[in-house]
Amino acid sequence: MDQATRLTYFMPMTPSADLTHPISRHDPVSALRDRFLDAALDEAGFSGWFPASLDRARLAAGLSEGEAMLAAPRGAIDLIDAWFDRAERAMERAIEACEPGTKIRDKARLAVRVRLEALATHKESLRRAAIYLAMPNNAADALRIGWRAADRAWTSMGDWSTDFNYYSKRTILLGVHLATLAFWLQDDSDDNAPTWAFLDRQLSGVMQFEKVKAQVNQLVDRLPDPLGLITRLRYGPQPRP
Amino acid sequence: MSERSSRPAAPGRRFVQDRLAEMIRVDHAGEYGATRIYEGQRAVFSRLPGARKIAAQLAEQEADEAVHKAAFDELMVARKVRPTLLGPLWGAAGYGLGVVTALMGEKAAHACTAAVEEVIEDHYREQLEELGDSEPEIAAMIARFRDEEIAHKDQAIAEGAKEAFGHPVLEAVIKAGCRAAIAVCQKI
Repeated sequence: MDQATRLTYFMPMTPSADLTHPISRHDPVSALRDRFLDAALDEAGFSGWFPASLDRARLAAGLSEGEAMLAAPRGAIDLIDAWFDRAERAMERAIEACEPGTKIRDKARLAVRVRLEALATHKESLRRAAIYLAMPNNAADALRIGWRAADRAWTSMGDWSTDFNYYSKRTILLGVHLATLAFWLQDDSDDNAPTWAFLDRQLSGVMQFEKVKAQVNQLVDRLPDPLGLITRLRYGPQPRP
Repeated sequence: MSERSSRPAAPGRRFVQDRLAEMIRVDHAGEYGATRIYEGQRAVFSRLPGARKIAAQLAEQEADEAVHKAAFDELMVARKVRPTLLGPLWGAAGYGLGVVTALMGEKAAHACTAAVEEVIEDHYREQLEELGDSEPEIAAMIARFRDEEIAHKDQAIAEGAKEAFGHPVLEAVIKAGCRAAIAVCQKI
């Protein structure tokens, strides 16, 4: 640990610390975590996210065992979490920089694309992270981290839904995202063009589904309403208004 | 996640925020359910030319609830609180309760209103106690809504809610249902 970090680390919490964001830039632990993560990203591409490789990453980052415990108490999960958090911050910035009036579909495409591109610097580590998250005992964390991506994408797109759409929107975006991620991991082209074409096809599929859904709803609205009959049965025949 | 939830909630900012999110979630769900009950009742009474008075009254109360829900909509988005996952269930249950009580008769419909609003009144009072001096804006909003819910209840009682057939049973069932829904909505 260099002198500067050591000093910040042992300094008492100052009023300038942003307490509304527990993991903020003022947080000395997050500085440790960033160093740990950078080293782990270089390491994980070769040997995965397992304890032995994290230990090598810790030494490469020059952290003591205690500092590593502080930076990532749960090891790989916390590091992957922090890595994806970086990508999602890039995603949020990109969406918020969109001109007003940009279509939701274009924003959704941008969200998936920017997040993947932010992770692209360590594609092999991402493949290993996907394997690590797919292990059954990490399922809950995988779901939480995946959901967070979809949630932050929709929130920064300015989603106002407060009903079940809140969940369906996020679920659909998460599905598109995961499918695109899986495709991209297999995509060896230089410019990723096949992946972005795949993403477009996925989004078209969602749009097609929404069209069919609207048609079904229209059809259901045209069905006769049984309530009129029931009301007449209960209160007797009514003069037509 | 699992490690965090196996421990009892620690006092502090995080806990306070989670608790506030629960409050906003349950209040939002409650106002949504209330609009659905009135909608169901109006669906029946609007077909009866002889029931114009109660239909107009219900429309007025429904408009109040719609304003409440819109306020919680805004608060929910501003505070990034997720809505209840059971929205469609409350929508169907509320509408069903409205239709059924309306079919039972005008007084039963008023009894339903009185029972629901009484539970909500209690619920808002508890929340106000829990909020205390924190979040004065939200507390003021809840206090205002509570007063309107009390007005709805008084109006329903004045219209003969207590004279409905089987009133004690109806009241007990509806109240139990509302309390159960409140308990579930805070978490889910």
